[in-house]
Amino acid sequence: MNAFGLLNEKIQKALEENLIIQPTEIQKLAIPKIMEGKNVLLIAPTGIGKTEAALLPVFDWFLSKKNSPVSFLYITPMRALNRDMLKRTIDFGKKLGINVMVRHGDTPMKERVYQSKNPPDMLITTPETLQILLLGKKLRQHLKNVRWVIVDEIHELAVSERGAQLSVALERLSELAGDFQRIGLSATIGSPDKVGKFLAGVERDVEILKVSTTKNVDIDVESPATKKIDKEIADKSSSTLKTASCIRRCGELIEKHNSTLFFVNTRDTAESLAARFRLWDEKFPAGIHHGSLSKNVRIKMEDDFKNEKIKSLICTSSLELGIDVGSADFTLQYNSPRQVTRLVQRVGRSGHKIGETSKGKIIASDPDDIAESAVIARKALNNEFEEIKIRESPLCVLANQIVGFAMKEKCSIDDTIKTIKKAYPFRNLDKKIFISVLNQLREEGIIWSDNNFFGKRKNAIDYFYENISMIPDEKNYKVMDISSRNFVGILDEKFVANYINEDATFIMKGVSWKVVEIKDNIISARQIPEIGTIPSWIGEELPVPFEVAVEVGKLRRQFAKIEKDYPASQETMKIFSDYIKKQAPVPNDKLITIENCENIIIINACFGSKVNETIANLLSSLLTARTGASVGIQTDPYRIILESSAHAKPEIVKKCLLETKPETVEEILRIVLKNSSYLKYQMLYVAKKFGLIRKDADYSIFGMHKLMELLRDTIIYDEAINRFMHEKMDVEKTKKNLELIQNKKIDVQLTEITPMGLAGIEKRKELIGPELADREILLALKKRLENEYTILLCLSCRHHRKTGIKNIEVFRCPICNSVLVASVNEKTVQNFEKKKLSEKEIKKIRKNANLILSHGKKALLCLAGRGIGVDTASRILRKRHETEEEFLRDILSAEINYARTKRFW
Amino acid sequence: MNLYPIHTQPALMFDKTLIIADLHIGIEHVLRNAGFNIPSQSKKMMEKIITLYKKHKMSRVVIVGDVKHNIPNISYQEFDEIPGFFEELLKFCSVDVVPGNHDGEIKKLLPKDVKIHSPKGFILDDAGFFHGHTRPDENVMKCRYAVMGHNHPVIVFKDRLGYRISKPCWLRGKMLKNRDRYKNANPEIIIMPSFNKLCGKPVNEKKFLGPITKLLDIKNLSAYLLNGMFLGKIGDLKL
Repeated sequence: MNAFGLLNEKIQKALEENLIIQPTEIQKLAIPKIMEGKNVLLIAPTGIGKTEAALLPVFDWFLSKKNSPVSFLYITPMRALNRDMLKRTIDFGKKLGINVMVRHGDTPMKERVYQSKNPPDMLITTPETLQILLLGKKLRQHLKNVRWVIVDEIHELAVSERGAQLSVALERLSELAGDFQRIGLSATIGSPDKVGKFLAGVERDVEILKVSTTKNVDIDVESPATKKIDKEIADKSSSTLKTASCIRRCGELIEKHNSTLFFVNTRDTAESLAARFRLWDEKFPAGIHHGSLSKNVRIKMEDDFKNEKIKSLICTSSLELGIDVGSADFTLQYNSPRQVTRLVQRVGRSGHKIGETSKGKIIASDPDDIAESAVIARKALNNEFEEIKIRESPLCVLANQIVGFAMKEKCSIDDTIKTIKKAYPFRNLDKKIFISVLNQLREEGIIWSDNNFFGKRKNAIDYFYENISMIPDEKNYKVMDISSRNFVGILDEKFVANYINEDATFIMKGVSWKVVEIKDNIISARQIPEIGTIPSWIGEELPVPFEVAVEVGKLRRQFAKIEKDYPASQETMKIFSDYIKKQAPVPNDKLITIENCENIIIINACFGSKVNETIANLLSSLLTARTGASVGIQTDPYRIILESSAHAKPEIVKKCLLETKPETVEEILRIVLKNSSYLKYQMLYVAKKFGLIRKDADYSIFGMHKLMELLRDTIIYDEAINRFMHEKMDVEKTKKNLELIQNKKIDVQLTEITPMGLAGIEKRKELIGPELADREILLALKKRLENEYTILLCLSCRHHRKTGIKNIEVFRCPICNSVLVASVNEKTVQNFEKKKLSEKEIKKIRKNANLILSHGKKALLCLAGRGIGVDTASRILRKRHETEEEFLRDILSAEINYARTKRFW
Repeated sequence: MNLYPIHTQPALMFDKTLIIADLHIGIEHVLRNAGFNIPSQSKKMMEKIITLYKKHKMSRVVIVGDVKHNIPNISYQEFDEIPGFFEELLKFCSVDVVPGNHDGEIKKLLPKDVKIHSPKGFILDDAGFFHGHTRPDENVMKCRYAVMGHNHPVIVFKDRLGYRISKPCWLRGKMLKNRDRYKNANPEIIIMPSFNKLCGKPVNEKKFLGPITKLLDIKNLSAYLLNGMFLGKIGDLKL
């Protein structure tokens, strides 16, 4: 008997009416288990009936138990509120006599009021809306009846702060309704155990049901060979020859297949490719789909693709979610997908008809890309997914939820902590940390608290409604087509600030536009035929994991032996091996090379995005401490690029790698991050989520730098650093690799500048500043010293003249040519002439003259320092300084020392 | 008279008298209205003063203006914090206040034992103290030192890569020869950094405030960081 046979008759009948006869694999596994009442996590690729696998047994339960509304919640992120799925579910429910309704941010007021008075049996909603539902007086009464909760796209939620927020909300719901059955729907992902624990919470059991993905999956990597026609395409589309070859090949593949999902990694790549396709062939059958296009545009694209009006959709992760786009039979991935999980999720979007194969091809443009793509494809075919990391106790979420709790009523501190600790991300929450967050919120005036209780103050309401969602609030500009007055998409603040003004051109929806007018937050534009600037949106690329980068390194080292293990054609792998043969030495998994050019140092290391980011920050802090100048850093998975505003030597970098003790890494990082300019964005986010900065804040009143200084010793700062380190760095792996370097398992070599190294250079810079920016202070010091006046006194003929230090070139006496000349002040000259000087003082003047004889101008500068007498100057000048900065810094220290011990004026 | 700055602190000292300027208690209210819920800095300032007391055992504290911030009214925070702040201070020192332009209704907030002087300034030993928003009395300027606040001086540094940092500083200098009504006066003018960290105006970028600064030889004002480092003259430090 098939799984459907277990279900209530009414359901079986409704399935037959919809022509659904056979359960899919995931349904076969899930239906019996869910009917047992267990908490279940379902892991399967998109599009093979996961939703039904959860809904059908839950409907069955409902039909037998007939609970009062609201009996079950279906929680899914807003953008996955797939219109078709909603319609299907609502209709199916109607057939069974189950009332299904939807509630999210855009639900009109009328409908919300209706739902409060006439609650549905099943409510489909978003995690953010759940926060609001928990506050409604009437709704809370209805929510007490919840017996089943389904969480969709849980793989995305589990690793994000939105998920942590949801996990606490579910515990709050549990307090209200008692324990309910929890069902999670997840795409293929590494670490399913963690996602299971995330779903169920602490101390609850969960069963994990997986459907294998490797049956019938076919992935390979290709780097297209150049054909004659590519030159013409390159000219027409303003691309390089290689890009033109890739475009042409993609066109061929799209023609060959019925319906292709063409995935790219970033929104700007999507726009760039779409524009170029159109320039090559106006009728090119590809639409475009990404998160910054307006909803109307996206829906139209989805529909056109489903109805086969267009043969392919150029898209980003916007289409990874369960949006139903019909049956694609082929997945194209442009350039390396960067992570195995992502490749599997994307290829899995095609070939859904039962018995069909999911087919995918990665088009790689350059040799590094070929290697990375080949490694990721191999891992995908062997189920080697990335492990996921769920951050413990994210404090922004804690602050947000504390206010959430307080919104309703006065709360007991201990009871609240108990509830929160049932949520998996907060299982190890320390009471002390809870109290610190509470105190910060109290000092900001958002809540009140005493030793045992806390509750809301007037400001809490504003804070809560401004911060329901954990998604960062970025200022966006809407783009409007001036002829149709339709909303096309959005551009973010950074891009607009840098590139947009009237008459500027940009690409959106695959078409080029020219700005006609910018008013308030709306950019009106008209279409033009030429190619415009490709917009950039904040925060796009996925990090390349350590394991992938290391394997790429291994490929570089052993390219002769490995070809057969990788799913790429011989021709493609030959492009890679030819490239490697030309480099010497080749940085690989056992060799790091360091090259430099002027004030840029490039470190080639195959450690992946996060470890390289960590090492970059580490090195910049060590360099900054030495030179006092700020260091710009930029990383990619295979390179670390440092730019210093003072000259830094590669030997020093090698030294740092060989000598930095791994145990000190974390400490150094925390110090250097305090001065990093990209911590600014983190700080802003955390400060906003803690209610310190409101939505309407006027930044002109308060410099960012001042704000950061103010927040330095607060919990907001600590959280910003922790968040940043979790998102961008990997301290543990960095420590391990430093050990390998220091145990000579990985070698470090200095080399000449290489094309491989240079390939990483780009325009953006992130700045790490020294604690004191003292290089600028040192320059100010030098200027000041040079501007000083002194009296040069000849010890032989007593001639003296007052002169500015910067003007002095010759140190001999102009009258008697003696070399014994001292730098003194008025008083000393007068006493010298009147012969009123003691033995001791005369000795000092002689020593002074000797210093000038030995060190020339340096001695003059030194002696001009405040409170620097002959002995101190002698001590400074005796040292061998490698750079002028070191010399100036010694003078500075001496001055400060003097100021500390005497009055400084 | 031995008037000297305390190393690393925005404070002057002579005998057993501590001198600070520009507390701006209540400035958080303005920030709050601008969208920033910054916690009150008053406790931190009191802790700093107590630390100074532990080290220097002063018996008197002189505040050179702008005790409070909000004009023209008194904010809730000021009502709440200022009386208590000063009662705490009075426990171990006597307190003198020269009102500044933000100190409109300060009499209503300060405990009786706080000595409130005229905004035209007052004299202690050979130093004259005034806030800087209005012309001080001639005698104040005839002293050896003339100490003022009001400008919250800060120096801004920028480097080639665009990294920007600002530091509070002291300013010292003389008046220009054309001295208006202060014909027989030639004091050493000291402009104090603000005691409240939230205030600061880059003096190497923006103009100075107050009638006296118009009489100053600004180009030749010497700037010092709080740690004693002499930066040079304002004229040379302009960005």
